[in-house]
Amino acid sequence: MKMMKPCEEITLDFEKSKFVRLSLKDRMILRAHVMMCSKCHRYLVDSRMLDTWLAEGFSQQDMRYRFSESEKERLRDLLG
Amino acid sequence: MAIHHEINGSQLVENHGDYLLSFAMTKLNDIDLAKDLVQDTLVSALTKLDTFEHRSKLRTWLTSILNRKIIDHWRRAETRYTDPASSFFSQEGKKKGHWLENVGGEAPLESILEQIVKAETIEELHSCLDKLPEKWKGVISAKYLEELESDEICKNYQITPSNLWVIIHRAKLVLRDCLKGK
Repeated sequence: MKMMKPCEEITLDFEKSKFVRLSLKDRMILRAHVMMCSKCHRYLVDSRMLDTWLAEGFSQQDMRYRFSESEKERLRDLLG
Repeated sequence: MAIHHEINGSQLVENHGDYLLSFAMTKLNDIDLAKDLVQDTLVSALTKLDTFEHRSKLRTWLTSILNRKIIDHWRRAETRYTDPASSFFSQEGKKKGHWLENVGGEAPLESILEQIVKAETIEELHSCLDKLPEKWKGVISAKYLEELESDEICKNYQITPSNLWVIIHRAKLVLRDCLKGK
């Protein structure tokens, strides 16, 4: 049984695991790899942090961009 | 319904224009294109007011029309080029309007500092998001802003679930490097 996977596959499996349940084998490989590999462990921590920031960042997205007054005037004219 | 007669173009622009533009820019990197699509959305909405059934809020209905137009844009764009990463480094990071004014109030100083650090991080995150290829940015927006199920994201962007995981994985690597200033 192939127990070793490159870091790229491990971190991709971690993202995949947020959508689907990994096989038992893949879960074991992921867990063992992350225990031994500080870079993948760092990725997991950063990925969770990004999940939080992205959710919060988008919730504060309201009105980040605005039409200028002249553009609004043109739109109002267009829409009658 | 009588209430339709109370909705006019000026109100749509005034009450929803900036919101729709901001929504469009969570999925697009081109402000001019975003403005065009919002304009198309408002024109469509005015001509289709009779079909608005008040089962949802007006803003939700307008957003769904805009979303459809963004997806149509994507489908047209997909036929023009095949490499979604080709425009990867072409977009300059842009600093956008500041919203730190919201920070403050009655909060203790320590938490104000935390909020400022967080606000700056999220502002930085938005600059980094602007550097992603549009398709990736759209997928990230669909997941985190609209909180769509993966089936729907795949359908809208015509990608497989594996593509979705890969896009999210790669986008996070790019965002992480960008936030670390690499």
